[in-house]
Amino acid sequence: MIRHVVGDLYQIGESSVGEGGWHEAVRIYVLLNDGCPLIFDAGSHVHRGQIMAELHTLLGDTAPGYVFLTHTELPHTGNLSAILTAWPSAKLVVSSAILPYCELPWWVKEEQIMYGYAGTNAVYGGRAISFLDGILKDQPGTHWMYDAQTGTLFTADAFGYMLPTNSETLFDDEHADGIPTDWLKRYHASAFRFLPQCDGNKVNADIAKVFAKRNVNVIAPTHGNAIRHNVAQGVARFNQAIMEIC
Amino acid sequence: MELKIYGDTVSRVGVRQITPQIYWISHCLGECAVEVNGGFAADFAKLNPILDPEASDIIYNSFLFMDEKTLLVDTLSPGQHDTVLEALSDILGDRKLDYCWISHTELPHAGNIAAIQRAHPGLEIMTVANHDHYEVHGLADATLLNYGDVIDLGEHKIEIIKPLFVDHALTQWFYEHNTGFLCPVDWALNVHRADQCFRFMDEMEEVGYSVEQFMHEVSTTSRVVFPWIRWADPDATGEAVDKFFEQYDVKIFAPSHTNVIRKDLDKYTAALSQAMRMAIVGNFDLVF
Repeated sequence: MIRHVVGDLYQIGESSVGEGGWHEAVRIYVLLNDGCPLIFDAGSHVHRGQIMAELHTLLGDTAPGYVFLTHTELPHTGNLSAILTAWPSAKLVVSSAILPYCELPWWVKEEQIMYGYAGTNAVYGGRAISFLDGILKDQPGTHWMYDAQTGTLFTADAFGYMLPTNSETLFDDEHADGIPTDWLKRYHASAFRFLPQCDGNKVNADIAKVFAKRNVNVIAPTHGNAIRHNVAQGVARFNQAIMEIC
Repeated sequence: MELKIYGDTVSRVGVRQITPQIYWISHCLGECAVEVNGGFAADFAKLNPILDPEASDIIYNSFLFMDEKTLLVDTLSPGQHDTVLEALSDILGDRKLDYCWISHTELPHAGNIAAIQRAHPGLEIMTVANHDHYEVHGLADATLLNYGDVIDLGEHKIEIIKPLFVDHALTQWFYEHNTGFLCPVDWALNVHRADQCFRFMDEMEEVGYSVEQFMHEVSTTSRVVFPWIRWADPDATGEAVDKFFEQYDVKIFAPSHTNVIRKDLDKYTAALSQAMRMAIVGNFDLVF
C-alpha cells in the first residue's frame, strides 16, 4: 500500500504474516525529489507484483535516479532485479563496506554501482544524502542514511517492529499511544539475537549519539512503518525494549 | 598441495580434501584481489598496523560431506554460481546431493540456493528453526533444525549447536562428532596474501603466517564482522570461548572465512580467546 509519510517521502511495500498473526513489514521508502526519485531498499521478491505496481503508480512516467541499499540481505534486495529491469538507467548506491561481487546478484553491472562512505554527504539528483555506519545491525556492511530535507533517518533493520493484524499500515500517530514497546521488543529480540550478550545501556548510549548529531523528524525502518509524529517517544520505547532484551 | 581450480577472478573456486570424505570448496580472488575488491581486506591493516598490508584477500568457504548421505555446507556467493556447480558435479560424480545446510542467509553463504536446487532436484535445504517469515529470506520450504538436532549422514553425525557469535538472526553453527569438525560460520575471519590462497593454516605457516598474526587479525576483523561485541563484556566473552572449546573437542576448525585449521588446534583456540578480549576493548572506528 502506498502511504504518504511527510513532505515528498512515501512508504510502500507489503508485510508477511507469521506466528500468532504478527506481521513483519518489508518496506521501501521513496523520495520523489522533484523529478529524480530516490528509492531506499528494493523490497522482497515475495512481494514483487505489489511493489512494482505501487512503484509504477507512485512514480508514473518518471524513472528513479538512484536505488539506495541499506544492506544486501534478500528482504532488502530480493526485488532489485525487477526495479533495475524496469528502470535500467537507475544507479545503485551501496555501502563502501560491502564487496559487491560477493554481496550483490552476479548480474549487477559494475558501472551501475556507486558507493556511500560513512561520514560523508553526497548529492543525488540535487538532493543531499548523508551516510553513517549502521549502529545496530545484523550484517556488517549495513549503513544508515539521512535526508536532511525531510529529517528522515533510514535505519535498515533497527527500529523495526512487529505489527498485529489490522495495524499493518499505520504510522505511530495513527495508534492511540504510538508504537508500543512490546512491538519493538518482539522485533529486536528476534532480529538481533546477540542482544542478550550486550549491555543495554551501552546500546542506547550509541543510539543517542546518532540522534544528538542530527535533527531527526522521521525514523524509517525497513521492517516497520515510519515513525513520523513523535520521534522522542519512539526512541524512548526503543530504549526500553533494548533494556528488556539485554 | 593437491588442488583443483575452477574459473578465475570473481568466479574462481578451489577444491581440496580435508579428510577422505570432507571436501573444502572455497573462493578467493588471488592476484587480482586488490583490483577487484579495492583493497577492502587491506583496510583491516589501517585499523591495526600490526596486520600485513599485503594481505588483501578474503576466503569464502563451502564444505561437502561425502558419506552415505551427502551434505553441502553453504553455497558460496552469486559470483561463483557456475563454478560451484561444476566443482560439485566433479566431486559428486553419479551421486546426488541430499542436503544443503545454510549457516545463515547472507548472499555469500546462501546466494546459490536456487541454482543448486535446479541442478539437484529433490535437494533438502536445512536452516535454523525458531524464527519466522522464512519466505522473505528465500527459505520457505526449508527443513528447520533446532540446537541439539543431529543430521545423520552415516559415519558423520552433525550436531546443530548454538553459536557463540552471530550477526544474522538465522545463524547456527555445527559440530561433527566423529571428526571433530567445527563450522563456526563467520567467526575468526582472517585475510591472506596471493601466495597463501587455498592453504590450510599449517601450510600458511610455511609461507610466513603465524598464530600471533591470526590473533591480531581476528581481534580486528571481529570488530567489523560482529560490531555488537563493543557492547559485550570482554572477560565474560573470553570465558565463553574457553568454555566452548572445553565442551567441544575440535580437531578441524572450519569457519566460512578462514583458512581451515587442521593441526595444532590448541594454540589457535587459545589465540581466539585472547583475540575476542582484544576485539571488545579495541577501536571500532564508527561514524555515528
